[in-house]
Amino acid sequence: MPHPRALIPLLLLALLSAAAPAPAQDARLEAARKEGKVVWYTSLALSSSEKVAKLFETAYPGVKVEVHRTGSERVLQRMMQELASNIRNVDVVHTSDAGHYVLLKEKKLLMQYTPAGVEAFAPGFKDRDGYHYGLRATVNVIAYNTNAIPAAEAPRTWKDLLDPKWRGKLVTAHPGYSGVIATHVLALVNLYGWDYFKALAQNKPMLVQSAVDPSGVVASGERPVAVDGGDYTFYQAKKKGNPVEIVYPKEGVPLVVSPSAITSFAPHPNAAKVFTDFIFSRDVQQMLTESEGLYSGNLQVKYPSDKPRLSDLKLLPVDPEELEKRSEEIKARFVEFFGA
Amino acid sequence: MPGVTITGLTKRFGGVAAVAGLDLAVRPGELVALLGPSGCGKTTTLRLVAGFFAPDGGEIRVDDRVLSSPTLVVPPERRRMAMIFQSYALWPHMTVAQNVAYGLRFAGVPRDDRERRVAEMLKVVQLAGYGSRYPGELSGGQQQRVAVARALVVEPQILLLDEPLSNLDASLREEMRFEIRRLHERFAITTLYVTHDQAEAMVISDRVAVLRDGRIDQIGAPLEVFEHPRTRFVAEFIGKTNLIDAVVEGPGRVTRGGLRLHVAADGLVARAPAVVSIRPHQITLGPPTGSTSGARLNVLAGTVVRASYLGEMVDYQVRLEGSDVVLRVTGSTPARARAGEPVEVSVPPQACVLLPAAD
Amino acid sequence: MALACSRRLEGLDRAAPVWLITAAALLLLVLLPLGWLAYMSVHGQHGVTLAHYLRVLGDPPLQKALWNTLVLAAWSGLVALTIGAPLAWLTARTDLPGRRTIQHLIMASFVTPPFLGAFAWVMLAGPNAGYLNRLYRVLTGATDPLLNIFTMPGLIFVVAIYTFPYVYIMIANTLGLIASDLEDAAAILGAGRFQVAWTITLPMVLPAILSGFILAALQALALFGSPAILALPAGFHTVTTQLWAFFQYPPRVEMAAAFSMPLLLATALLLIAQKRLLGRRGYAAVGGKGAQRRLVRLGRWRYPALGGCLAVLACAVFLPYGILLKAAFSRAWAQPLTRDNLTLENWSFTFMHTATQSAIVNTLELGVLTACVGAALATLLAYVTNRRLVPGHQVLAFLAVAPVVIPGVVLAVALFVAYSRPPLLLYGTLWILFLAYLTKEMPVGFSQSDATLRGIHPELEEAGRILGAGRFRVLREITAPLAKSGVIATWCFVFIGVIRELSASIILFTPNTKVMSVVIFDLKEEGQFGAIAVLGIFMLAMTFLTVVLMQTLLGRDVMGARQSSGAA
Repeated sequence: MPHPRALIPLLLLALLSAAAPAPAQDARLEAARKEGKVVWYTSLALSSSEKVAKLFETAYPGVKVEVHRTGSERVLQRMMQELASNIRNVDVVHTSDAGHYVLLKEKKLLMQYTPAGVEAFAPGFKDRDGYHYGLRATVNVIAYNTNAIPAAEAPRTWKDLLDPKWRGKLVTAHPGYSGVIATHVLALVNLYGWDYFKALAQNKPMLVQSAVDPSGVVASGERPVAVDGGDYTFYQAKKKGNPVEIVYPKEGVPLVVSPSAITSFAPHPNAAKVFTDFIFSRDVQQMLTESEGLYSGNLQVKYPSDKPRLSDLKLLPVDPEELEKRSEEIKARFVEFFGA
Repeated sequence: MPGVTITGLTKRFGGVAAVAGLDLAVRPGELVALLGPSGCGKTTTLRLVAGFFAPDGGEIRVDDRVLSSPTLVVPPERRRMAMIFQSYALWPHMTVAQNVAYGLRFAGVPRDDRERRVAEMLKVVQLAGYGSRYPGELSGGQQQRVAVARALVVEPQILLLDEPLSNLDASLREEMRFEIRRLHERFAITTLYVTHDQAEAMVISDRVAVLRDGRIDQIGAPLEVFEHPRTRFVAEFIGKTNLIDAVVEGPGRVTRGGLRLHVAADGLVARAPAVVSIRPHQITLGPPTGSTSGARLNVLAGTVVRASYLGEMVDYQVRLEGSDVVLRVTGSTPARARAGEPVEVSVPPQACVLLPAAD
Repeated sequence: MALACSRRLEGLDRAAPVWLITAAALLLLVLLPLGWLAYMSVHGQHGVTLAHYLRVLGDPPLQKALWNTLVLAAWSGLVALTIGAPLAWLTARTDLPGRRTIQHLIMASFVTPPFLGAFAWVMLAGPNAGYLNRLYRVLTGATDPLLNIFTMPGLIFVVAIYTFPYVYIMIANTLGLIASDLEDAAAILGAGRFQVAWTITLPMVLPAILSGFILAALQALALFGSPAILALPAGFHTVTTQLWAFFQYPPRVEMAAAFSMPLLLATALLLIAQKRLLGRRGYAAVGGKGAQRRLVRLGRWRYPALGGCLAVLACAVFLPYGILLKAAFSRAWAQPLTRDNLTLENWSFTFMHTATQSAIVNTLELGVLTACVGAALATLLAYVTNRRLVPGHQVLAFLAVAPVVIPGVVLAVALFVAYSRPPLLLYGTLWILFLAYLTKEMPVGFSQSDATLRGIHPELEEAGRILGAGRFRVLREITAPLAKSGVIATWCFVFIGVIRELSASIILFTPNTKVMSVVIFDLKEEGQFGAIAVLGIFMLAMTFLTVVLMQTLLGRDVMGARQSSGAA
């Protein structure tokens, strides 16, 4: 048996290597604390964004998160408008319009950064050049108010919504504001062509802006059926006890992967990196799926049992390049059919 | 005490000349009244002297110092003048004492002196003890006296008054006329006094300047201006008068139709037009005596058109025989004749003042 | 030589530079952005071009937006007139019970931001979930809604109930000037109460009525919030919402500039018409000294009239405020107010939200700054124009009220163009918002200051000057104390105007420079009615606090009616 005293240096070495975090991360955290905050332009629903921010601030005291939430299209607009006036404000940009990142990457406005652990994510969530990664995903669904509409009469497919009996009972969000909706519109245009929306407009749906809004409208009963919207918002509403039910049409549900990236001109780059690592971490991704009803690129996370898995759904994916190229057309024709 | 010299003063508003080449020399210690109807330029002249705006032409001097010219205006606060406004312009948020003391602060008078002088001046204007009241608590007459005190306490070189009595009622106005004259005699400040009330001007001033259309028509002592008006306007504006358009007949005589008047004037040009001014109170009226000639000149027969009893006097209108002239005559009470009765009027030649025919 | 020089200096008016700087500041404030706007509207890649105008005026959806705006303005004006005129007559000339209270409530409607009213009415008259509709369905068993607020008539209704106070003020003030004897003369000859009103009072008040209509229409033209909330969901645009849409990425500034011009033209024409009606004084001059004014006895019409007034106030004040309070304290605003539904969550959510906190700070900062600078500038300007201290003071007075011609959205576009490039890069800072607010509130501030200074006789200042006080000393010791209450009133007016401003803020803000109205609007896009209600109530509370302050300090209320004067 070795002499006990000889074990001490070994023991010490073991302890030290276990206790000390990797020196590089330590230095970055220090730098992040010096920067003091990270500015986050996000299109994730306000309550969810705020929750993420609070969790981060608790885990990393000394670094504040400035949450600026608005619709995806507005996020891009703000960012570009600020840049045009030489204002460099935003560190981390997160929208639901994948086309944006094609544009931003092209304009060299993104920083190449791979958050820890993201290599294990599903393929659709990773930019091949490492500039942006899918923070969350949702699918566009139909939803209806269970008090107003019995399950037997509820619409089951996208085409069902064109039935004149739904005239005046529908609500839709706007691709001019929301990336989730822009993706949805392109997916359905690819499926059924623009005639679909022309016909849908005949039913005179109520126009709201954010993809988060239809769930409120349906829950209140103002309009009993939503023709689009991220499923996670309806899920949250249902969980709160609102009379909302979700329908995943058999023709397929447009998949919206919402990327997140650090800007190339970030004024607080270290804080941005720490934050990005945080939001892509297993715990946060788990939180997003469990309590917010989102889908994650992390294949290890557990989903609540009352939600279909992505693998169970027929997904309608959308090419980001196409989304970027046809962005003007999507918005203009939508306005043309729906009036505003 | 300096004098004020105004030469060729001109001021236009829009296209209209409010003051059109006005000349005036105010002697040291003198009170000159600027008298005239509204629109004649008297207030504008006063404000130009005060320095509230610049003249378009001419000059205003105090002794040798040029205060106003088209290129240079010494601001009001450096002219060492004081002004009493028609509205009194008492500051409602200051007490009477504070109002009166205001100007003293800029003369470098120490506080104790200020208080003493204010108290003295308030006594002079008979408002002793009112120092802590506010203007809003005073009557119109009292406010006016505060305005006077405020102006006099700074011992200005020039005093300007802009119709200060026109907001008072008639009896107060009369009383204040004498008060102002008394104060002037006591302090002997060179003063310009603007008014439209000719009785006021006659009582108050050393000289009266009658203004018309931005110029001085005539300036002189009250007696001079009243008894010897030099223009038709002055004759009509000051006191009542009869104006007769006539033609010169010969030396000392003018005629109009059947009327012949002897006038006490020289240098008359035969057949030249002449305007005769006769003051109503200088005409004597009595029952017809029958003698239309003799020692007395200008004895004329006529008929009373109207006789109005006015309490202190009787106002007659008499149509002269053989003429279209109706004379206004003022006589003492009781009335000597009634309407329709024949009378005899007598006009002393000295009372017939000749005025230029064309103004 | 030296003597001549010193004499020259003697004559120099030391105050001149200040007046000139003030005038220059105003010119810069108003003309610079307008100049840029005009430039941008004809600016093309190869020089001057009319292409933008052609595109904008030839595009059918844009033409539709123009038409919608005209319809909105005309109808709102008319409805506002129909509400405001009878109310003015009832409170100013009759023995209506509770006149004083009704006047105060109308003031509440006056200071309520129209977009907040629009929100409240969404909750009240949304065709399915609206409170009133649900009540109607419960009571009558019908399935169709009684009211649909998401329509043009709905928009007109909401706009009218918040612009009628302008009509009311104009007519009530005029009625206050008409002496009773003019009406008595008619009554003696046998005319009944209403005949007198119709044949004698009405024609005398006609200029005020038309002028009130124009004012209300002007307000309606410039509104952004209400159309954004009520028209967009129904699928139609107005010029203001369309201008805002032009600013989505990529911003089409030239189009926005060109499209602003018709709106500017329309408002300018309306204002010219109004000036003609009222003459230079700015209010209808009527005969009579306004001394003796007896009240018309309503007799058996007393209570029906009161009912009518209360109905109007219910629409403008009681119902909307009620539903806002309900939504602020409910988990789900559309559900009935049970114990389960009651919550303070909305309050914590709203105020804990960092964007809200910084927005409130921004709003207060901007409110105070703009009010202070605005009151000072307006007072100086009013002084300069009233005392005619610079040549061309009439032009200054005109410029000071000129911004009323510029709708908030258009002003924002102009300021964006002027100040989003070097050398004056103000976009992204609070300063561009400050400039927008200052310009926008200048007319209100100037009118108030102008009225204040008219009440100070110039002789009060001249008396000081002749006694030895220089111009600035006179300003400080004589004019300022006498103008104090008027200046405070100006401050309050500007402050209230700033904290509720939306149409310019919505274009000029950036994430770091949000103000409360913008946060409310953002929340609307997410459908967060609870948070909207909370912030809205907060905004109203700040407004009322200011009004109460003004009333206690000055003894007068927002609409200029002195508290000490009688109700007649």
